[in-house]
Amino acid sequence: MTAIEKHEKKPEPPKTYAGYVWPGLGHLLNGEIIHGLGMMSVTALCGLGLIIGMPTLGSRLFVQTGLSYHAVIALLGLPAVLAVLWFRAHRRAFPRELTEEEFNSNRNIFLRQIRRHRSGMLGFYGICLLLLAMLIAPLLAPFDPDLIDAGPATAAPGWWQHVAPMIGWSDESAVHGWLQYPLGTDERGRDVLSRLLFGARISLLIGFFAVSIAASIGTVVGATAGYLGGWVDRALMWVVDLLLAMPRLVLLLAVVGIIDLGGTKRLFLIIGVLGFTGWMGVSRIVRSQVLSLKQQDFIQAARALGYSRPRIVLQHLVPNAMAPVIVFCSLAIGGTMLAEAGLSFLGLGVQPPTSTWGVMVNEGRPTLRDAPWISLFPGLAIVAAVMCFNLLGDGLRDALDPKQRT
Amino acid sequence: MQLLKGIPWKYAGRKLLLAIPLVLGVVTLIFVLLELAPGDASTKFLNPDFPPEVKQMVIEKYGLDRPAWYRYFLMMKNLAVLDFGRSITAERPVWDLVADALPNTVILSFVTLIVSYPLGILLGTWQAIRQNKPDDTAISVGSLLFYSMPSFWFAMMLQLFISYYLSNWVSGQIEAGTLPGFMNVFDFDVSGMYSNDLLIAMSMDDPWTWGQILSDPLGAWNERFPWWLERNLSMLHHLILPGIAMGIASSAGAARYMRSSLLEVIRQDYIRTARAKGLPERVVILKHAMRNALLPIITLFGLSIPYLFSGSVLVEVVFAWPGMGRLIIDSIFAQDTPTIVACFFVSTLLVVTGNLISDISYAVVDPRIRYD
Amino acid sequence: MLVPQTWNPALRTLGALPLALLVACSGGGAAKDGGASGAKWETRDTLVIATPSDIGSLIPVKPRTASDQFIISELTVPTIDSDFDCSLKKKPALAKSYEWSDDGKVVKLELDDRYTWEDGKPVTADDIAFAYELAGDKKVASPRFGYLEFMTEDARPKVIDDTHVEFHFTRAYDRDTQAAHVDLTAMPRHILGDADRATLEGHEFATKPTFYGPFRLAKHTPNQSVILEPNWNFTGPEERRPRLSRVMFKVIPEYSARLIALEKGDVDFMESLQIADVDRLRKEHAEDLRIVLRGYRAMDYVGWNGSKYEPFNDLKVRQALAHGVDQQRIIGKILTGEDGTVYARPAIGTITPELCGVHNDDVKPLAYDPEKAKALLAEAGWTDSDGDGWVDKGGQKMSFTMVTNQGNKRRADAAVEIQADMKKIGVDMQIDFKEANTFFDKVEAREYEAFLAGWSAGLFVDPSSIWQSETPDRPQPFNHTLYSNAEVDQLIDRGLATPDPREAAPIWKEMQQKIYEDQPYMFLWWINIPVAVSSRFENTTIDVLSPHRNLYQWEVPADKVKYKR
Repeated sequence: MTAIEKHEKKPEPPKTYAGYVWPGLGHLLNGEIIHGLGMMSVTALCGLGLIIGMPTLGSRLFVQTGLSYHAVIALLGLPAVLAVLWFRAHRRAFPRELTEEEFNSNRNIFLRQIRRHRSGMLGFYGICLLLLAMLIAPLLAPFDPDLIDAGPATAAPGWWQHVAPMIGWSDESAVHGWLQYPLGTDERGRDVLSRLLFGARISLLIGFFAVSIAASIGTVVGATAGYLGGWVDRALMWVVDLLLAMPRLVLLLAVVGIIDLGGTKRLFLIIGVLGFTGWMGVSRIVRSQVLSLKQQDFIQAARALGYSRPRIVLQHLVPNAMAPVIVFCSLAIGGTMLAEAGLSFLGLGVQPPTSTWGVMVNEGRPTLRDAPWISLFPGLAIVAAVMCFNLLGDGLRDALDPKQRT
Repeated sequence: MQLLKGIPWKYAGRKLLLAIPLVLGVVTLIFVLLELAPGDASTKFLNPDFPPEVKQMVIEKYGLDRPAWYRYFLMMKNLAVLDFGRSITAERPVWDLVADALPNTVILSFVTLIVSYPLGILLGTWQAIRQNKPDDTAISVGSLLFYSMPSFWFAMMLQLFISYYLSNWVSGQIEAGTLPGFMNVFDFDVSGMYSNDLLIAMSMDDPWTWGQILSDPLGAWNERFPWWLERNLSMLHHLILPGIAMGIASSAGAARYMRSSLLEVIRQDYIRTARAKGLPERVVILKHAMRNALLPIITLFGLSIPYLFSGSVLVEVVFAWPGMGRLIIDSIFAQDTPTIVACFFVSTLLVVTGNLISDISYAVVDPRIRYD
Repeated sequence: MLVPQTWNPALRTLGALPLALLVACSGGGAAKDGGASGAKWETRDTLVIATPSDIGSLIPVKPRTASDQFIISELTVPTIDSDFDCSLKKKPALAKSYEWSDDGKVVKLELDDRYTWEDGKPVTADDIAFAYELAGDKKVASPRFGYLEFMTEDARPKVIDDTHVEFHFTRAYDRDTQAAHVDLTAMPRHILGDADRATLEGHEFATKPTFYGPFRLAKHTPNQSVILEPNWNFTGPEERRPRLSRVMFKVIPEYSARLIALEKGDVDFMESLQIADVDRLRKEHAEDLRIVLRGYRAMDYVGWNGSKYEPFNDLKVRQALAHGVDQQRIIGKILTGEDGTVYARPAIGTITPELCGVHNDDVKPLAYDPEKAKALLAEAGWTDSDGDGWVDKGGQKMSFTMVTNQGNKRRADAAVEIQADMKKIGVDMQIDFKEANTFFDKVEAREYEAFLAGWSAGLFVDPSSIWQSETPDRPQPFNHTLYSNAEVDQLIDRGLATPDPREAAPIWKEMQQKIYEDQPYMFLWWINIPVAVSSRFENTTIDVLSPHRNLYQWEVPADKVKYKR
């Protein structure tokens, strides 16, 4: 097994304290370009939130209905993120001494693998930025996302109003400043950037929760089928085949279209349905893992010791079968976001005023030619997010794959 | 003949038999789902223009007031002879509706599949040969981008940038005389399958009648072929944008698979041996490596048939392509049980066939595979 | 079997370049008439109408989609034709004369004997009787069943001879309505007489019909297009002969795709345009498109369902909510063009202002007055006692959900605006968008607290189904808010029993007054629906009756012809 392969310790890179000034700078100066730039952008985004959000904190914290808990969470979350960043910078300046055993632990080998995986890390930092943006959305957003008439209806992005006449695209002169309505406004005069930031919350929420549900169901079903075998296995796998035999989008359409729930319940329905239609892949992976692990010595030993079945499955089998599941989850979040966007596109997404990127793309469709930015930017956001999750997923797969280890 | 021998007939037969309970299971599941939901297809008949009695008449006519189990067994009984009954909202036999829509979806999916896979394989091979060179990275980034893109959004962007901005620009340039007239192929329609001119021509005379083909084949060829060609070219022209919107993700997926699969194969001993023997690199790659590297792609190909079916739903909506997508969506919204069941039946059949095709072609291509 | 001459001879060689072929598709050529026999007259050009739905069945007693109705009306000639000017103006068509008996219970028609079915058989009184026979057959489940409601069992209708037919009603009522009820399109008994009634819509006739109108169906390509061509065997009066070579209904389900097709010139006619798009069309296509306003046919309202949300039972609350919503502002925002054209007017009832003699212009809409709204709420016991910005009563804040259907942008915009206004008077209104079918189903079941919906107004007055009280023996599924007012019931009964529309007008005016005072709905606005038509068409009929009708009159001057085939 290559997993226990010993690694030579590299000589420590020279210490630098630059990271204390701007977390990430230390990494950058050490030649760790992706980590450096990644951390620096995350820090910069935090700073941006502070610069934009702090001067008008009062109006952001207190809205008509009282204290805005969105803003409170953002305010509490921001220092926590900064603390983590500076801690990483500190670790860069004063790396922890690892013992030989720690250095060669599976966990550290994996961490080194994944940290060395450039595209994977690119995805990782992309996701970090996304999560941060959604966390501090109330500080970053120039307007309340649902505020009608935050600007004139279908106003082009401010910078575009200046650029378009220069490149001869249009002959209308600019009305707004360069940075006003950076992504334009929609038909009701709502600010697209603000909606995009807040929409990220719901889009990602749906992705994470649906995939968690899918992974849990898939793991339980896969482990049960693999461990018990026999008719249970056959029955469960038949159900998996059954569900896989239906095109997912069509199934989603049928369930969401037929079961009519409004408001917040609709959100839960969508999460639930995406979860319940996404677990079949996981269960197949876990099952095949369990089947091969079942024959290995440590399981045989546990069985000989008379451990109970649930204990063997939960304590010994499942943790060892998790690696491919994690890879699957990362890739599946992207797929789930795409599926959600597809549903929203057909008008079956979450209900207003809640909004997701998919809903926003759909909202911009009637005015696609007049105001393409309403659909363009949410679509780009979906592409970017899904790409990041795919990059991270590929990275994790490479890092967890013993064949790729060098 | 050699190929036919390789087909594991017994295995295929068994798989097909196993598919029957699967299809029945799908149909049952959908039926239960529809029963659990409130309301039924008679809602559509509730309209201030109609007297309220009409809804009751429809309910009686289609037996919607019968108990669920009765309707279930009735449906199953009819299903045994592949009769899906009549659509309640369209009041036509469901087969008619499917027969109108399915061919169009099949054309779109088939052409997309035929073009996108070879393209993906080509790109993936190129990438593997040029591993870690800039062009490999560029293609990787590109394919990941398209792989991560919502097809409907891409379709909308194609409409915006190609059918609108580019078309406008091109027709402007042609009028100004800066571009030659034939460049109007870039003037893409945004919707439908044929141009207005062609639809008009088709209303005047059928382009292809069997009677004439049989009685006067030569005359039919001379007279009808140009029309037939014009018609299909018009369709192909309308197919380009939806095809790109649907196919680019499959291409990207195939390229990603092909690249990693070929890289894996290249690392293996027999390729080293082949290289050591001094065979030219081209022969090593094309003859030895490709053959084995293609195996996972074949699986992917079979498995992606149903995905194309799903994917076409969204793209068809954007481009008003008259296929199954619209039928599925409309029937779901109208809770038209017979039509929904038929749509699921068709798509499940596609999945099963796709799986079977990939299994069998696997066995044909790779003699090491044995199914028993 | 003629081959259209438009084909480029180059196409006949196999080696022709695909690119060249595509270019050739739009090439010109000599105009050519259809393939049918019979004397021909001069026709020109093709009208392409964008339609969201394909045809379902072209059987007049079983129409399935909006397109069916439009197409049937072009394939046939109405029994009694109508125009509209303040009220329906009847004029003879298939029936060359029609008269009422003195007691108003019998309508007698005399058919024009010139009309024949496409196959040459004359259109007789029996064909009309056959249509009513089908409409009344339970197995057919015809949406036209209501036409027979007040006809006596034995005379629905009574055939006198080939050209004379009588309709006997159980009572006299509004003549416009009666005239509409005798206007069911004739059906050919010689073709459909033996057809299975239960599967009538599956009969070949549904997609390959035979009629007696100016146009005939040339080709139906499912889910793509329906093409009509002149009925060369048309035997009716010469002025009804079509002047267009073809009418194509192009099926494009998505609004945005229809719009792009219109702007590209692929489509010549499109209805139900959104205001923002009308603005752009006026600006960018001033030359090639004409925007026509059809008139006030559709209204929007918010229904208050007191049986689901108790406070709506209080008139003061309903009045307060009406005072609290600034209709003028919302109209100014979502129903007004950039150039200042207003596409709506405030509504005070369900009778369209187009019926100018009947619509009560004296009823003035409740003015926007948030202070008065708050005062009225306070009178009803709703005050903001805990200072959280929302009004409350007995510890409960006023909070309800207004439901509306998906896919209607105007309503979605209106809902958001209303929500914003409600917030200003301390009322917490949530919005919920339901899929259209579910929405209407639930509205009928009265399961919503409040709903934003609309009515498409009839052009003869019959408010009974919306406003009459529901009784055990008379369910009123469209009285969504369970409105009940004995006086209004009486007025409606009296109005309907008055044959002369002029005599009925004061009754209807009083009814509108009473209903508006009760505020069962928050009446929002009547919408003046804009349609766009290519400016090469002349003599077009686009009015409150139909977005497009009498297509046989539409024509294109010789120098503007676009489709030469």
